[in-house]
Amino acid sequence: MEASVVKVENLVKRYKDLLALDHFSLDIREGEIFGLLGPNGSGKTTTINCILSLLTYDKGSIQVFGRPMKPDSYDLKQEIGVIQQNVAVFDELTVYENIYYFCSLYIADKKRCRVLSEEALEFTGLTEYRKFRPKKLSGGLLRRLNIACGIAHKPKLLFMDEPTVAVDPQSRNKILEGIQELNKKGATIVYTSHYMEEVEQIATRIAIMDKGRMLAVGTAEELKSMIPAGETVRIHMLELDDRHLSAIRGLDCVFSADYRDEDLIIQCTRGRHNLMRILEYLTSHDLIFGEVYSQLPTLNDVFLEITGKQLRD
Amino acid sequence: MPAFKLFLQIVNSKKYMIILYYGIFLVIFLLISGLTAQSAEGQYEETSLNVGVIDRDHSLMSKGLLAFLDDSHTLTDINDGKNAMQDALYRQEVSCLLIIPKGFGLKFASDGSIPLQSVSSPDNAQAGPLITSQLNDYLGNVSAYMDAGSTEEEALASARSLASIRTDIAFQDGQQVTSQDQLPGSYYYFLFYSYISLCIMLSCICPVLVVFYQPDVYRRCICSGTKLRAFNLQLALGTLCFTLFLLISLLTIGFVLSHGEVTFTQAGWIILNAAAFTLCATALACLCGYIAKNDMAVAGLANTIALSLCFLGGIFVPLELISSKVLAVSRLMPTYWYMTINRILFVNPDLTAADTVHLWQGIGLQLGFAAAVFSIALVVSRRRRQFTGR
Repeated sequence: MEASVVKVENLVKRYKDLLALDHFSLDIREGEIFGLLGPNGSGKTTTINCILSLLTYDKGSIQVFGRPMKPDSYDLKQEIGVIQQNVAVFDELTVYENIYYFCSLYIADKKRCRVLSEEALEFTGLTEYRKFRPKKLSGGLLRRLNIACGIAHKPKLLFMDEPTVAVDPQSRNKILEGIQELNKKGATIVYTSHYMEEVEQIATRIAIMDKGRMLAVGTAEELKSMIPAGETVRIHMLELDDRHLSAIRGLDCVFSADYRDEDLIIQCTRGRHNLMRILEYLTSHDLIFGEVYSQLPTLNDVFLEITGKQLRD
Repeated sequence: MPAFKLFLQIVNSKKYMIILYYGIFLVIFLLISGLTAQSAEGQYEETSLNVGVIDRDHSLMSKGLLAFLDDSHTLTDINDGKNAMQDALYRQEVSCLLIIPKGFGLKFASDGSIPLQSVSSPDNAQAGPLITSQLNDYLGNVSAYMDAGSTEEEALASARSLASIRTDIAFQDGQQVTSQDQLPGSYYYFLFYSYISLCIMLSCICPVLVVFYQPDVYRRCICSGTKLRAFNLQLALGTLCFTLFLLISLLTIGFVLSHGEVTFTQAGWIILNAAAFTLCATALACLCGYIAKNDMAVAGLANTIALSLCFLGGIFVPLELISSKVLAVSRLMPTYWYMTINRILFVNPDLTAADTVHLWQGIGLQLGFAAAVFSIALVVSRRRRQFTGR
């Protein structure tokens, strides 16, 4: 088992009457891309701010690289990179100067700092924009600059707080690929988002949180296995009588079935060839149907199963 | 020292604005210098009047008196008639009329009385009293000579020669300045230094601090391996360097342009006064930098603070025009004490012990103001840094 990089135990944080973190615990291991998934206001950013000692907390303990994290733990901070939700750069500096400045906050050696800044520039694909001021960059490029400023010093632990908010799909893919590449180079990454597809795409382990509480943690597959239903099949049918609907509900592979707005929606049980069995029933009873869609369970289904509401509610 | 270097780099990006302020300041100073020089040149010009004369006495005494007047004024004979007199005054051919009555010489010789009459034109009301005053002085001297045993002729000649003595008045590079109306141009330079230094500090330091203390940028900086104390010290060092640059550059320009109007002692006090005031400006700039959230707010704060402090402190408006109630508020402003010290230094170049006490008092109050504002700024910055990010 890999060593623990971030260990949070029973963290409690209150904003006056609002309980932002409710006995929250977390264990992030070395080399992981750890996804912190939850709706807006669930406490993701508060968790990160507490880990980074930007916020004080009421109760609990936080350890980074096996040592307690405090506001003056500068040796630990030296190994950490932060990419905040909002772009935090200086408009007065060029792209290169911004990267160099934030790198120089960690690296005293100017020569090395210059080399690292060039590498970050290249890694984020901003080489041709090196002399641009941030105001001249598009939203996607600005996000990439934000990332370059956070990774230039090659941190061992990287916190990325919703780095793809308001980014076009092309830039988003580029960012996600970059995160995976950083991870391959040895960085442990803590990635928060409310985009479940993103988290599912890159995270090796995922924690789902809501209202400051940890609801579930595990790999995407482990989380999905928490729900009894398997794939969801939607079949367009102009008509379906109750007799056939009851019969479909009675099939072995069907967990639940519902017919509304000319759509038959079936939640299958976990098993193989479910779609084939359902279609066999329909054809054998001469039932006419149109388009057929099949969707595997998502993290949203997991969230729905646990909380009774959608992730993006 | 990355934060220090970045501080200077951002300040450097505002160099054109600083040059513009310096330019405007110099233009204003040169204009004021020109105006004060012109007004000083005309101040000791002797007044010469057109005096209409009606001599009904035609005595030796009256002729001697007219000869005395002729030395400094232009005399015109007027016909001895009411209409002629009225016409001469109405047409402003003369500024005033002098009527020497018959028997004037005898009467003066017998009892020393001076039964002269003068009538002024309505547009030149001070002319009559001026002529009468000069004649009284002259005849007083004549009387004194006669009492001393001189003949009438000798007394008139001696008194005339006495009146002809003139004293040359020369400005000796600021040493003889005693009236506020005659203050040299450098007084105004150092007076307006307060406004310019306030404007430049508020316009340059505030935006830099606003940039550094943007919540997201600040958070990113304090998450780094750089110690928070070192980071804040670097910003403080940057502020101090810029303050020194401003102080030294503006004072150097001021001393060069003053062409020796300022003595060594005055220069020392001016440097102390300007340094104390610039500290106040720095403290205010820091406070505004912590309070303001963007450049628009900085511009508003800079204008409001600089203008209000300068108006209240008597930089733009003489204190004599400010009501006593407002003056009570003015005394709380560093600009008031800066201006007061500047005025003492230029109005009384030879400082008395009481003046020195006033100067130290003013500088102490300015330093106290700076310390108070710095303290408030530190409290504000501490509160602002305790963010509530979620």
